[in-house]
Amino acid sequence: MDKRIIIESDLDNIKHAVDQIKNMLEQIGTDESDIFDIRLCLEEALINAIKYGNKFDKTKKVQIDFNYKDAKVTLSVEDNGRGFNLSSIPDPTSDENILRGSGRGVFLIKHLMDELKSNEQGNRLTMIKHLKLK
Amino acid sequence: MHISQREVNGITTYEIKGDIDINSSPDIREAFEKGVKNKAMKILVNLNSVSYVDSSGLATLVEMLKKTRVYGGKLRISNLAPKVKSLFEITKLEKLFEIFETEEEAIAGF
Repeated sequence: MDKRIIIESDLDNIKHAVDQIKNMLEQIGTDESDIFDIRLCLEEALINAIKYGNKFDKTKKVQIDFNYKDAKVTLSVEDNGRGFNLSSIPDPTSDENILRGSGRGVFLIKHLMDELKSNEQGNRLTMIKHLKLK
Repeated sequence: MHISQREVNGITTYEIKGDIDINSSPDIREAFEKGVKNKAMKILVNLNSVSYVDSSGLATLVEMLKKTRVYGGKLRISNLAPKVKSLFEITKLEKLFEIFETEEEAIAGF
């Protein structure tokens, strides 16, 4: 099962895109805990893509690619930005960062998904989760 | 999202219903600012009806805690749904906040 969704860089577009993915996960029989994790990770990735990648420029698009095969979900989120280095994200749980107002989004994705990788440019994030089916 | 506020025996309780995310965080911050302005010393945030929190929501709660600490106030959180609680554990925010299973437990000894 494959699906591609392309949205303009507006936070208001996130809900509709995520709902489409959520509906597909429900059709597959994904359990609620996995749906929670995937929803959160997709929303975090989309917020980052719109905010930091495309800097709210509505002429720039964000592309979401969904693939489901053999109880494995692969989700990619690509923006038109300069990209970022996944390993450069500071640890938000360290004493110096724990009170910071931001920086937990990618950290949560790393923990809730089974795999996380980016392309060389760093503007395409690919998240993989092995599902617990009902 | 809906947020209500009540004050009983010197404890200001915020009860939030719905998602705490990038969309609702500004409204939660605004509601909380009133408590901060009045220097509420004992604040309880009851998340019984919250089933979803994103990183913006976590940041909003951290911000609430920081503002309360500035004037020596205390902030407690209660009634976390299991998945929401897991986010506090992953981000180690469970060590930063005083978290209680129920509102009664949070109020006791406040």
